[in-house]
Amino acid sequence: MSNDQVVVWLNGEARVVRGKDALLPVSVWLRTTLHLNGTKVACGTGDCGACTVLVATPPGEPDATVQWHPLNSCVRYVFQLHGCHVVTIEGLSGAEPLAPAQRALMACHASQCGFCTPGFALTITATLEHGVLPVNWRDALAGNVCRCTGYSAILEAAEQTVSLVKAEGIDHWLNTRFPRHSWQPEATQLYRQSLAIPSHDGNSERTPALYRPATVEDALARLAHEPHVQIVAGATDIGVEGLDATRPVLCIEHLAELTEWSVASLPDTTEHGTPRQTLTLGALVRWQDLPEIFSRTAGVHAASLSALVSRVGGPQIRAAGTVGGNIMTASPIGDLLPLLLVLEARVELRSAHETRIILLRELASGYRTTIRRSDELLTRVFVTLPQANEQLRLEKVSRRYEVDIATVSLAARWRDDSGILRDVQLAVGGMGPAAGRLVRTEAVLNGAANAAESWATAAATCVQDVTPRNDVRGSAAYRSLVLQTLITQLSRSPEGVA
Amino acid sequence: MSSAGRSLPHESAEGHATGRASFIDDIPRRQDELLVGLVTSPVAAARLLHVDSAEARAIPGVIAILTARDIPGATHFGPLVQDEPILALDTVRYIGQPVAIIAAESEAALVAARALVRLEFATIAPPVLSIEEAIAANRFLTEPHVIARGNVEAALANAPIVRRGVFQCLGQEHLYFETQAALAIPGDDGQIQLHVSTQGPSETQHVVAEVLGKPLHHVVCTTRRLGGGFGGKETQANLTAACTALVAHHTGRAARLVYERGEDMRNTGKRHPFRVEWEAGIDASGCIQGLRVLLFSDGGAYTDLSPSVMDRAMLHIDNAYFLEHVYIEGRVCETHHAPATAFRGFGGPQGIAAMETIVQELTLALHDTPHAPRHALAVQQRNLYGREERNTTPYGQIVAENHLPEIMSVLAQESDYEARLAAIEAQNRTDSRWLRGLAVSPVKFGISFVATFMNQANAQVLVYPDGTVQVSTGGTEMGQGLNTKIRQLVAGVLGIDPVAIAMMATSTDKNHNTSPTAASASTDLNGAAAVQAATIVRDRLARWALQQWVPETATDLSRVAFERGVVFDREHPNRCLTFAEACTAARFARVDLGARGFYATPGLHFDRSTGRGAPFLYYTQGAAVAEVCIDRFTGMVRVPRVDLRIDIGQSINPGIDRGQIIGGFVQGLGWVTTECLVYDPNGAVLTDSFCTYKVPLASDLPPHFTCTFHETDGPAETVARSKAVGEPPLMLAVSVFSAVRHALGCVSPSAAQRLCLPATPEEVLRALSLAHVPFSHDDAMRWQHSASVWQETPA
Repeated sequence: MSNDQVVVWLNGEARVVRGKDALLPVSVWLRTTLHLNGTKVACGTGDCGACTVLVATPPGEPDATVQWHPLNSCVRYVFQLHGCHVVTIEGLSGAEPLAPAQRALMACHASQCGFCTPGFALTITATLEHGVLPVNWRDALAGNVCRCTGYSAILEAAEQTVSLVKAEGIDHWLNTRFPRHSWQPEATQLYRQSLAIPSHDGNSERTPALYRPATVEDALARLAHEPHVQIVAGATDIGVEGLDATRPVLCIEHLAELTEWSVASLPDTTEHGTPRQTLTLGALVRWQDLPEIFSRTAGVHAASLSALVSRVGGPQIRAAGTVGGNIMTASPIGDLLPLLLVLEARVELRSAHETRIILLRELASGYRTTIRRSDELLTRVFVTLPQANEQLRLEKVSRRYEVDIATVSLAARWRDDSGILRDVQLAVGGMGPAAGRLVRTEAVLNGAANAAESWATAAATCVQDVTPRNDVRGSAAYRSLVLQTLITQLSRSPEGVA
Repeated sequence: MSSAGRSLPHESAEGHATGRASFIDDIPRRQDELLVGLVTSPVAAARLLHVDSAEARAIPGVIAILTARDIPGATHFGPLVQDEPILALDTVRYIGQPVAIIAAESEAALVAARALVRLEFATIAPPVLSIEEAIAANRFLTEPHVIARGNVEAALANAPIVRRGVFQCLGQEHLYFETQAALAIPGDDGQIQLHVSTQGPSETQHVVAEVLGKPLHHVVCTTRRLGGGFGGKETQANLTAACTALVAHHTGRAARLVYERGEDMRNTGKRHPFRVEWEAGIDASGCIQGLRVLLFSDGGAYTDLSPSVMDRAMLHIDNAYFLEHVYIEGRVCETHHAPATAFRGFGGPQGIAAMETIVQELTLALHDTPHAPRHALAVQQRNLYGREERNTTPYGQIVAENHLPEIMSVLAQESDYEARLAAIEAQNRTDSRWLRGLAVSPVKFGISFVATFMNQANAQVLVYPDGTVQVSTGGTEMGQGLNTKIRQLVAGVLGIDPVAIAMMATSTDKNHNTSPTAASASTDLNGAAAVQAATIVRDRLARWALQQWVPETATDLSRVAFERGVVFDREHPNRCLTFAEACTAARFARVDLGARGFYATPGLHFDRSTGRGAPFLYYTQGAAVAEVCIDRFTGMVRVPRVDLRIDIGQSINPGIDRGQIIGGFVQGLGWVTTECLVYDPNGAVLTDSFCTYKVPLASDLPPHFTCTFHETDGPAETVARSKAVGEPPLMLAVSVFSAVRHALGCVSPSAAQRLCLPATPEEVLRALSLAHVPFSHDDAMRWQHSASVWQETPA
């Protein structure tokens, strides 16, 4: 039987949320319904981290450590918190003395106007709860923007927090202040339960019905029954656009079986003496999990794969965004898509009646559209891992180096067979209406000599594969020029010739 | 005991870190409160024929929809010229211009109503969206203004080497974290109480009073803190405040307006784009012979502060260099953008970036001259203002206490400039992917409002019987640490712990007729006023104490010491009281324990008509060395190393000043690199979110970054011999732009000449891709930033 109310632990206390409040963005619920004004909203689109809250889901294994992640509360809905524990800045401020990060920020002149400061305090706290020292704070804080300080004092405060934590012996501040036994047993039960909240139609105010199924099968059944639902996973995209009040919401984010991954050799596709390895990623594998997965499976290519991941969003976005979400929004840029395309990704689409597996490159049907049938759910992705004797190059060009959407991204994979190019795969994002492979360009290269002239010819061909966009991130001319330059230079070492 | 000079935490540090520091949207809602939203123009240039709000009014929960006809008082406002309508009357001049105000009881009603207010327009003509189009169409907000000295015609005619060029830069979005926000509450007898995120509570009070047709004493504007201002809330907070006041006036209910981020980025004005056409001559020794510059700014649709911003750009085009023969002409263009406004630096960054470009170009021009200086630094040093001679600015002010020659040479030495330059230029000849650049740039920034009358401030100090103190001034706290510094100054005067002093909200019923918190001068002005007020109270306490201790003889107040929370007789230290005991006793003795201080900066004058005077009390000076690394394939720029050195006199709070310096530098870094405003061909801002408008992140702070205070005694005439620090460091980031130009110049001079500001990847790659094409002056006259070029092709 389904619950009709969301239960969430907030700063150590269980809260019950009924009706339309469950469909509110978390930041609005905190500020407007609960009058917890410490959470500041600056951008409203998940880009600045001012509204950061820390969220722990009950761990699958009863004795596993509770993991806390910073998330942007402006692009997260209350229903996504069912069975979770949320800590806001008030949860830190209630402590005596204050949390180490707060004390360090105060001591280091790390706040000026103060609007972004709670977000920084929370991100630093979560990073140190599980972080491996030393922390690269420039990366750890990439999801938090400050317009006043120039960051120097904030980075000093982060380092001072490390010292405070060491000196005071408080390396698990969150799990000490909010001990697992006080919430986890009950939360674990709730987290696994299904949830159904009816739609609300009030005075010019309308919220859709919400379904949070307990299993993938239940989700598929709901899709069969109500094919027009809007599917919510990490909500990093739909949270920006806002929910459609006229369509029911199907929340799948918590479905544990879709967060699993595995790797297997495929003996039947053995070529060139080494077995090819297929990596299977559940649709709900999060961005933040990918570096670990790559480091265990991708061998020599792990570093470049992880480098790509580290330039997508900040920690808040990587803790929410999923592989499946990235694929199904079918954005023209599609952060992960060029890579998946050159890894010959296939996707598993399941409905209540059948399961089909199609090539990723056949999924997109246009700008932000796919051939997914309305009763289907993307459940798994299969990619062929690059082998040690293959070249893999991932380039991302954006106005700002970190946490920016690519103007152009290029993924390239090939093998040099005694000076001849084989198995060349090229894919781009940011260029056309959808991310895609450069089929004609690949044809020019396959079987050609691995020489500068071949790559230059290929670069001249790429304009036949894709018509570049002209938009806020760059002109068509710039995109063409960059793409051609990048392809021309693929034969060289990525570090340049010094 | 002096607390000046100590790095005490920001007065609100705990409030910031706990989230308890309250901003406008955090003030608890009143039961009767209305949400206010604006209906804005979707077109940039049109006649407004009709506003139909009948359907919207019928929505339950919609309480009022107001248009220009509902304004009881002045329909227009503006700090210099009252040409900007609060709500559009019969024409609209930019996308995002407010046309109607909606007041509703719920967010849902507000959203529904906004969709149902119908606006009818008749298009006038295609919008004018750039300086070049405005010049061609002869659309200007001001007449040409000139500052000149010497005989520039003759100097250029006689100069051995003459170059011409055009410098162009785009604007910058303030991106203060707290958006424009105002709350209006009806009070007694027709009064209105405002809570506004404004840098100028007095100006907000004046605008609201005029719009409502009320006398000034019926409007109170209160500001506790701003979540960032950077100039964006100097005048532009007045519009949102006026809209809430109109709702409160018409409905008798409290009304609050807090812009969403996208609204704020679309509706409000930004830093001025500039176009600087120049002609300069130099001799073989590297001495600049003459300079003629024409400055054009994009002022947007209405005047706002544009003439003042242009003045400051003209007063800073010399940057740090003596120009014997110079002609500077400035004019503000009128376009169909939101009115451009104040932004940290206020024209200074544009003037200084233009001059640094000119000096670099002149250095390149010397390339083939035997025995001429090879490097830009040598040319810069050759032309710096002198100490005893060559030390008068084009407007006639003597550059006193000139530390720049020393700052430049120490900085060059400490940063190993010569050796790194040689290494970089050698590496650039061989590295096929990475292109490096190195540049120094100095800054000499004049402190004081150029409009002399604005250099005044008042402060109120209230001492209570328990020895605690409340201080308020006309200066607003927007993160810059003004209140913390004033707290330290007052603590120093009274000899008490700063913790015993509470900094109170700025409010026009305590501190009236004040100037906006701007021009970096707020500590100079308000700090001096607060010190004066605190001194008045201290002297009264001292007089009272002497009467107790030596009633017959003593008149020398300095005999009474105020130190470490104790009041004592220096000649008989056993005669002592705690500060609190003294306050309690003095109150019973009917001593006035409150005072007001007033300060007006002495000795300033500037005659705008002749372009002559001494508008500045002093100059804040500094310099930076920046190294950049450019990806030749993509145009992406990284900044691996920056060293900067700045003279801020005797710092009142080194921790806060360091934050101002680094924060200002990084904000400037954004302006010259990644912060790129993009408009569509109709004039709509496309970069209207954090997602598309990219400010620096922690990872953009140069990995090697040093910030050094250049030790000096500081000016004798300022409070605690401190110097202003708010704006000058932003302009140190011009060094990064110069370093990009230096890198491109290593490929070919024409690549550097083509670069406009900001140096986005696209702009850099475009310049690089045309490196082999020689650049002519005619090209320069036509050249535009790549962010403008994309408009020419359909989206």
